[in-house]
Amino acid sequence: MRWPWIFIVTAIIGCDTPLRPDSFVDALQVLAVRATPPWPAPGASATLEALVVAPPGETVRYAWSWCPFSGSAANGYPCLFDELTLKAELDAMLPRSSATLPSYDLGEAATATLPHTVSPLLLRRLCNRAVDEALAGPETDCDPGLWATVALVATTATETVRATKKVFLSFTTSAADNRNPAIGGVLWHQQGSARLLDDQGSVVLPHDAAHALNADVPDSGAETYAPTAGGASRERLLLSWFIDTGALDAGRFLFIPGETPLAQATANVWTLPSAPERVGSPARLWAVLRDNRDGADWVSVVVTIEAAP
Amino acid sequence: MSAARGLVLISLCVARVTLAAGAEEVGGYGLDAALAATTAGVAGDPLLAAGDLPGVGRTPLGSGALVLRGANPGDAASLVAGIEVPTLYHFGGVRGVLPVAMLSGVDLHLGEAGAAYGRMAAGALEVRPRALAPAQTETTIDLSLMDTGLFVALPTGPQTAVAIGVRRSHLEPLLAVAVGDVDGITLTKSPRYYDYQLLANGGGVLGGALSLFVFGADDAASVTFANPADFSPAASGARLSFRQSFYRAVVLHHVDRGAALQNDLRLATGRDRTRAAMGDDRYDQDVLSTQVQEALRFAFNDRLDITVGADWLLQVNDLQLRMPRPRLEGEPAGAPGLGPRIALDLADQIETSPAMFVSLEARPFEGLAVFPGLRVDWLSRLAEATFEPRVFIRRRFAAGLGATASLGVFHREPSLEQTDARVGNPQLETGRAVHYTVGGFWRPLPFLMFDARGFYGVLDRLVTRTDAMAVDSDGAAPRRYDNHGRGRMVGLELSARHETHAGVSGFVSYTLSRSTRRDDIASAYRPFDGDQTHVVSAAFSYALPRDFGVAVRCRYASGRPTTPVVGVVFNADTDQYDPTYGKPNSARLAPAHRLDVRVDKRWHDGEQRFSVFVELHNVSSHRDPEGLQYDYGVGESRPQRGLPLLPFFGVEASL
Repeated sequence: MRWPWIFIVTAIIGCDTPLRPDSFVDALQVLAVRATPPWPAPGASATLEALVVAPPGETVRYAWSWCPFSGSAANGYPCLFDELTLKAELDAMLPRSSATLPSYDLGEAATATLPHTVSPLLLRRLCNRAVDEALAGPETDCDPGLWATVALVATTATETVRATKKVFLSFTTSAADNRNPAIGGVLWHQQGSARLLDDQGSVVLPHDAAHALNADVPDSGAETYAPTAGGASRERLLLSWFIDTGALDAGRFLFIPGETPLAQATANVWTLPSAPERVGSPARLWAVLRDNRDGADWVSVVVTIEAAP
Repeated sequence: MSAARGLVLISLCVARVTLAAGAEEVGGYGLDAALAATTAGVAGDPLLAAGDLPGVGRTPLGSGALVLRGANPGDAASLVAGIEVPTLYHFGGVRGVLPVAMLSGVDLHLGEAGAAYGRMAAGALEVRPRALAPAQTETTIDLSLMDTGLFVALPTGPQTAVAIGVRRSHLEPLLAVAVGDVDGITLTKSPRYYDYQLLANGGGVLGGALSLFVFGADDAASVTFANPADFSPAASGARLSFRQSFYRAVVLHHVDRGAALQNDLRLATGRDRTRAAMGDDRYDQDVLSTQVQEALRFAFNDRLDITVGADWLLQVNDLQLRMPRPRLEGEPAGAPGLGPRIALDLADQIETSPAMFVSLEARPFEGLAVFPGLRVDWLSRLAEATFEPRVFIRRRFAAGLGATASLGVFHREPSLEQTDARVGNPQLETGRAVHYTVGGFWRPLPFLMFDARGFYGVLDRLVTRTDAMAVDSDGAAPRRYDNHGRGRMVGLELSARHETHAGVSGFVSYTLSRSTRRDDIASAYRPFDGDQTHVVSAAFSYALPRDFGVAVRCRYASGRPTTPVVGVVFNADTDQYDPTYGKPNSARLAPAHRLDVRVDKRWHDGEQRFSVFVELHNVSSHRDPEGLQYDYGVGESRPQRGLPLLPFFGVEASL
């Protein structure tokens, strides 16, 4: 049983300088995808939104889709059940039930909607059938709901990126009790005071300096829930930071209740480079907050670079 | 990670022991423990020199795995005096668990192993305890920045003696410097190991020799991440802890009435404990084991000896785990902490594995020896009986020439979680291997030996992953694993050994091999994880005037296979890029190589002996590629590099 020791060794010898800072954005990139609510109840719909960053001047095109049964990540999440076959299966179970099946194609707008309109009874039967035919993994639990996969393809004139997100189509209202976390904004701390950054560039930061930041994440953002194993657990929160100039102390922080303090997980330092030629120009920062139950939120801010004092 | 650490190593010096016939008589390879300890680059540890033997591949840093002829490390066994132990190394290869003072030799058994060896598919590495015969009390102090050890051997009567050894690491100063460079990682408990031994020889019943060997080892470490996201965005805890310990108490009784009758009885009991935890994930295995081996050898006539024996292993397993499903051989490592979890809680699961074997040594005429044998095992966990015919043939010609040939069938059980009904497949069968070798040897001089052998191995019933369902009277259930894998290994092993003569000793080995497998009928053969086309080791030592000595060792190994990344999809739930992989093991890391040198000086003052040595490990400071590190977007990669040049120097004191 060597896996934990190997990770300790890897942590020691492998933690070298990153090839490219995780947090630096200089090309088309999907930073986050959010479903609201994360786990839609029967009859509800999930609104799908994405935080997509592209180089200035580039126009982003969106293509949303979903699939009820996807293959493994190692194979690129192929959809294992084509739409026509799925409709036929539903009609075989209950005539005309396929009319409530949302099209796999969810459109090309910046946002999309995934309706949870198929009867949970039918979905459960479909799920069990998929397990029997090895279209779903053998460990798939079909009782509480269905893990659908939403895919986004973001395209500019020169680049294409693919993103995927799981949306839990719960079969009961109680199983859908899950909210996205909320990030109120990013505060900049200077000389004992804090100022909220906005997306208009109204806050001016000197270049060639380090700036203490703090994400406004309330303690209540980590929900308490009842895991399937029983008892009560509290969500973990992952805060990811991204910038288009300068450097951050760290790209990601993990808040684990009882082990890492929230204040530590939401703090960062943004160092703007020495770049006199950039005085007066904007610098962008994004903060993405995730919980470990598929919730997400984000904030985008812009600061204006000024000369060093 | 900053380079160049200094370590002071004071290790013991023991009298050289003549290499026992042991493994080499039946086609294995062997090392004299005391001589191997003076090999450059092993810091006085003969178990680390085992990696220079033919057929042994280079293992990744920290894995401690035995890669024999390119096969899956899980298919090899670790033995002490014939008794299976979970590992022979601390922390995956840092140190052997037994100091050289307790050992007489190290044997490597490959496909030529006799019927007494079982429960392995690729071979075994075995250490032989020392035969104590101190004329007076010996006390050796083993002191270094790496570990501190004490060895005491004393005669307790005519033909009886006792030896006690204890050793404990103190890696903290070294690692405080190394890890101090890595921000955000705190060694909550710095990796530490200790081991202990009690060896006693005396007279037994029926005029036999009785030995008691009690030994154990304990490794522990924990790391705290100030930011657990540095380990994995899916980490559920900030602290990663690990502890592995085991002990055995072995009673060996040997009766030797010459060619007419010999009997070996081994009784062993022990415990293996492995615990690892991080957040919600954990692994806790506790195994109580008892093993009895009996082998009676008698002369049927002057041309035929017969050995009959039994080997019974009883284990009581407790296993609690909640962790990502362990990867199988050939699967990409993936990001830590991600992937669906499995959970299992086993208590007091009893496994019994009785075995019977019979082997013959037939000498139809001068110079020819044939060793046929048969081993039959019953494996209770799988409810499976295995039959393992073996044959080894050795023909000696004039002028030190000889030829060998062998055929052997071997089996290895799947792991406990692979056969559990809740997370595995209880219908799994043992993996099977059939090994063929043909070779020759030439000993032109008493101290010079050349050996060449070709090997071919066929493996089947290898464990592979499946999404198929099994349907029975109780309904459908996922199989999760099956035995559809097949493998083959083919190669050539060349070695030359110059035993100490005129102040010179040396060893050269070269292994050329190709080890491949496929996971099902539809897939193509691909390299095993441990497939390394070329493995070369060369070690030489020379005794200079005025009791100086120099030694040098160099090693080269082809790069290990890796699976290339051919695409990525951003996973918005984990904030990671999920790689899409190309053909398994279709790419390779760069080759690994290193050069080690050693210089020593000895003094004698009556019964007291002293020596000083200096070793430079990895003189060229070439940091071998141990894996690939990818950037966030899995677009760029670079090798994860191993250790740079490390100096070791020390003083030996034997009082």
